[in-house]
Amino acid sequence: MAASDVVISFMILVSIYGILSLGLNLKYGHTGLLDFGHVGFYLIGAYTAALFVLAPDDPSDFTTYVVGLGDVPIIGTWGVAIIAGTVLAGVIGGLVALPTIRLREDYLAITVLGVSVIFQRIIQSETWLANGPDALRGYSPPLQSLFPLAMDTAVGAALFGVVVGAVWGITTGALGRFLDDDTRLPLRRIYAVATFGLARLRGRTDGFGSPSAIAGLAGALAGVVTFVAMTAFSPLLPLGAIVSLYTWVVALGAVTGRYAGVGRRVWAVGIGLGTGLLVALLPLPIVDSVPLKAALSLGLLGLLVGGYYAGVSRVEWLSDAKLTVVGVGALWFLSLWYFVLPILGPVGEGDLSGALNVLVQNVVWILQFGSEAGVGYAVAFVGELTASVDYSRFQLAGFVLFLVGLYYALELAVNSPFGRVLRAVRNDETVVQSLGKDPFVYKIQTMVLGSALGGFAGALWAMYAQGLTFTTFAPRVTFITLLIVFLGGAGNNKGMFLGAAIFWAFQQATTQLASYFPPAVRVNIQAFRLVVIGVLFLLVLYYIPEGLLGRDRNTGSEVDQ
Amino acid sequence: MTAETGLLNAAVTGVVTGSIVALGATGLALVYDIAEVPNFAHGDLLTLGAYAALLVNKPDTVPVFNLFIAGPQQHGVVGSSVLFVLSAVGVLGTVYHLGGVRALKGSWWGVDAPDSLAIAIHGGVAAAVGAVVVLGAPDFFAALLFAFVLLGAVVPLLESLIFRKFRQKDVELALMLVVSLAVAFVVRFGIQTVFGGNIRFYTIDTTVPFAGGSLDLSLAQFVDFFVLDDGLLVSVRETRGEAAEQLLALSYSWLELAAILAVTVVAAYAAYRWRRVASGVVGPRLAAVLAGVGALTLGAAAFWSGAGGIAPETGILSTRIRISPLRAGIVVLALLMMSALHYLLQATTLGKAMRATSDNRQLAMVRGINTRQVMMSVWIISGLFAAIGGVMLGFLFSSITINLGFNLLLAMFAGVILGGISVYGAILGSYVVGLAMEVGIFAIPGLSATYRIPVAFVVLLLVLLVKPEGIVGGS
Repeated sequence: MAASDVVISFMILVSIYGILSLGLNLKYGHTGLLDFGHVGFYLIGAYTAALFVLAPDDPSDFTTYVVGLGDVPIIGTWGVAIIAGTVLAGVIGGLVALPTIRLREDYLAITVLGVSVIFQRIIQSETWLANGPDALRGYSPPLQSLFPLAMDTAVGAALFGVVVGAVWGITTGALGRFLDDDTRLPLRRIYAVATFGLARLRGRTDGFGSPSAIAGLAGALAGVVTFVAMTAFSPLLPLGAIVSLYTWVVALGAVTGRYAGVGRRVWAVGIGLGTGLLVALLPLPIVDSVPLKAALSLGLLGLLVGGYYAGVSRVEWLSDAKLTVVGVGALWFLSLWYFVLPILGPVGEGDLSGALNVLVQNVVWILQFGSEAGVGYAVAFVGELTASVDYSRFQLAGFVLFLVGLYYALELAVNSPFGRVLRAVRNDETVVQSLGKDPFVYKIQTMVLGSALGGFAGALWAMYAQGLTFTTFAPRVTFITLLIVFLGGAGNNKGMFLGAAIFWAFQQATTQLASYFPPAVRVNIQAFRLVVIGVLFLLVLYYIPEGLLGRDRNTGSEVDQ
Repeated sequence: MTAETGLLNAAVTGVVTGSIVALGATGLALVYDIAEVPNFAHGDLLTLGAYAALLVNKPDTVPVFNLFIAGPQQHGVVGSSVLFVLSAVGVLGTVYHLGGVRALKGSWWGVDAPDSLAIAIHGGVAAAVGAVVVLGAPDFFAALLFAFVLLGAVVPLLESLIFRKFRQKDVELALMLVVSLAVAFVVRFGIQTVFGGNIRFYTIDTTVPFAGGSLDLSLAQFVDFFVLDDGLLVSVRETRGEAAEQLLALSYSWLELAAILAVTVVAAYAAYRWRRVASGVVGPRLAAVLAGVGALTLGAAAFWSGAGGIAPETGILSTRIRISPLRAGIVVLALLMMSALHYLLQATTLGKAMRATSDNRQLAMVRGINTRQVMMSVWIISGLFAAIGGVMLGFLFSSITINLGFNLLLAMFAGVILGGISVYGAILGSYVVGLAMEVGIFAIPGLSATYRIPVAFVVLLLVLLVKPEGIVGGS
């Protein structure tokens, strides 16, 4: 699997869990309702969506489920299925909240946990409902049959246009946020070009002047341009290269802008940490004996952590920058892993053009390389490439669009009077009552909205996983969501992206590492992974309980002073 | 007529389940009430106890440790010495938690004793426990003792390393709950990292010599009750094979039953009146219950007549209970543990200090009570209860998996919340939950056994709707 494919599935999972965490953040971060049963609404959304798109149950096969609306004309489509899952999860969230909201916070947490376990048990034992303990399969995500895209058709060109448009729009929107940061890149000029000249709308004070509107328009324009270009002369690789390079440039700008004021010593230590991590993990693919490689890696990792801890507690400037150093180190490690590691193999064999080939494949992440159904190219110095657009890119574009859209909707809600009342409820209910508002009603509304978001994430999960088992919806998921909320910052919607990204980066990394161990100890490795996550969670709760991004400055300050 | 299992059987099974839940819920309630930690990790502490006992009972299934042993249930020299060291460290660690090195020198004793004497006694006890474990391995009681001392040393570490730090930061209850959830994950997946995912089970010889032959404690017997025209007939049968071999038969006439009932009521009332004046360890209600049960047993034994009866042809009512001596033993064990705890809480200084700390920690500190020592004692006791609960659970369900304790956690929390967060409330709540689980599954047609926990939760929800502080709680 190419590194870019790993990153694509990473981003898809981040989107799903980001939406799930936004729901829990609304309940806990904004309103102070600790909901240990959040996974129950995830479950409802997933199973409802699946049942809406499944074909009617065939009694003669081995799967049974109560209803399959897949053949019904409009209702049996993914659009309606997602809406149905979201609405049902929200309604059930409200129903669950009605008797439990008045309880003390720990009673509420445990009771709702019990409710989510009840949902899980119902799915497990009622075999007539959703195939019981066996997986519920047999449906396919929307438009999957059209992928990998056939580039000579109008539909193929249109869908590629959609993907490009989404990616372009989101990247431009991100770029618009840090235009004025101090980076060495000519950001303003890139922005002007990327928005097809619409950048001069920035001066306007009405709706059209906001970065999001411009980004949206730019994305739409990019999509149209792609469509036209593809139908005309189908330049798949060049287009893919341009879009991918644009995203890399923006990412580089974001990173250098964020770490602009950071001194050279901090950079050096960060890079050292990142390289140290790589070295510590080297025994895993190289050494054969399992206990030896585990011991070596654990020993080197221990040295690394010990060195970091010693440095942070003794050296003044290092302790001020302790999180920055980790951030720099992580980014450096990721860059090494993404760009350098895959080409080490061909370089070691002296095959420079092969190395370049792999590098190009990883840089142009928006296209998938190597499938037989692709368009063949022969590029100078690089060799042969077959490029195609596979389904995961399309899914990614869709999910990220949903995530960004929901984020904006939530930000609007949170910055509105409704959000202010929620924060007041979180801090002190009596104040809210003295102002004549009923905190009970607001809490119910939060539970409905938060659970609806959880249901939406569940529907997306059903789409991604293409099969549902009840064991997926265990309390472990709520625990992970809580971790993401606390990691990013309870009450801070932006933090959800960061938290989900950190968690899934860790998960993907350790999955890759686990593949270097024999299958017999896989269970132990996965368990150890969760132990590390638990310990990290405890460290986060103790040292940075307000999260990496802290309380959102816009929403926190007026109440917390 | 034949007797079928019915409501009474469900109730008896509910009492057994309630006892198991109570063993866990008591430890949970202690920590919840006195240390103010809703310990989500308590279920996984039960699992830890169950897995710890494996080191004694089935050492060949323990990774890394199985390199040191001689055979499937034999420890050999190296394994035995490891067990000895671990047991001794367990005992000494438990004492250490009570006050550090000074505790090892006897600071936690009520009396003044020279340091060397205290150290010698502590060392002696540690060595004795180690010896008992090594010599008794792989027997059940050695395994239980090992789990006991190991958890007594390990569980308070959770308090001293983790929860105390958060309490010093004065965090809110919700955050403590999240912290304990994280700890639960660390414990559970820590166990899985070491042991892996295989299902394990104890290998225990459950036959004991009894009345000339041998009796297998884990086999269930039927206890049939027949209400006939002239009285009550109780018959105890074996369940093996088709020929139900009758072990014991008791018959009582109506007159005898009336006499027994009268004596029971009189004895209970007399005991109640007697203890009304002086409470203490045995208060009026407890005295009434004890006296009533005592009178009932004595009366039943005194009027015992008719051994070797046969199943009657006709009768008014019949019902059947299916129970094994093992399950009955669990109920007895739970009652014993709870009596010991009751005695501790009511009659000892430590118990008084615990009750004071639970009422008002600041005030207890003002009065000179060493709240830190009280906290650690509470955690130690919680760990001991968890060890017994875990080993019993593993024994009863014959399969030890990672989720063993977590499956019970929800029932334990239901019991604790139902009864109000106090030890006595938790005991009451656990039995209510146990009964609800079994009777609910029995009474509601079409409900499969996987719904036991959901039934407990529905009951909890209904009680909380009516009385949000729980049945006993609220102060």
